[in-house]
Amino acid sequence: MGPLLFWILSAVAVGSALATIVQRSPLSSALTLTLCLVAVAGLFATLSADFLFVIQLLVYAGAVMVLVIYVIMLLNLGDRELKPLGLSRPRTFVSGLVGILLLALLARAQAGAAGISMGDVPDGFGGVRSIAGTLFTSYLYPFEIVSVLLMAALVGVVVLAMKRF
Amino acid sequence: MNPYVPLLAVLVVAFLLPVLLLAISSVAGPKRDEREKGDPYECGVPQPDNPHHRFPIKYYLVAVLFLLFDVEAVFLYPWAVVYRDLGVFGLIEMSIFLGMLLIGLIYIWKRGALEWD
Repeated sequence: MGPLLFWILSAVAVGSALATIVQRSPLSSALTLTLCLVAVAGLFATLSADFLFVIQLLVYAGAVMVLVIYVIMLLNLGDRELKPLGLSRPRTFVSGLVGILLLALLARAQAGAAGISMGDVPDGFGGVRSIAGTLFTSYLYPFEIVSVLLMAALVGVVVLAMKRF
Repeated sequence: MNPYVPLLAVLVVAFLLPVLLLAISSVAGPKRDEREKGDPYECGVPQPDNPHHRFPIKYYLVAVLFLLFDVEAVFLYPWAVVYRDLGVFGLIEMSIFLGMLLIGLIYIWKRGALEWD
């Protein structure tokens, strides 16, 4: 069941990622991107990373996509602004080069990891309980700093959006 | 049994049900192509102009505020799972975290960011 699920979810993730970049309509791209994020959440679940699964769904497929869709609504691009998707020669060259380099990097990482045993992970590793246990004890200071970061973002968005021009 | 199996079953049903319903309605439903059917309308009144207006920036404000408080709620979830193990210590650390965000909430409230006008 595990390998089959992995292949299905990977195919959905890669396919929807491709659909995201080749579509002309931004809203369709946003929907396929949501599908991609959900598929990646499923991959996290098959790796028994329960916490990441929940976060991926709640924050990425939920909140971040809301923001993306709001931005699409605010920009409200019509047919005139949307240029047809076309690849110019330099763009094709650069993206091809980056793709080949990325593939080489992945192949190298794969080759390097071939002989290494993953070892046994403790029971419940990646679960909510184990992550919460370390987050609220060993990483207490970063956790509290996150609240300052969130408050800075709150103030920042209010200052930016409520500015009188 | 893997705890994700029921979730997978829900996903499969949620995927198959709309596909099935759309398939049935496209096979069994009548099809009449009329131009008026494709027109956007509001309360039966013909559309006066193109709906491509600019939206107020307030929508963006609402979206970002939602995102920020959603991230806050995400931290409450693991905290609630280990709440009994942490005891009073956990309560204090979460109070500091929430207190910080409460200051932010009071700030945006006082600035009038929660008002629509």
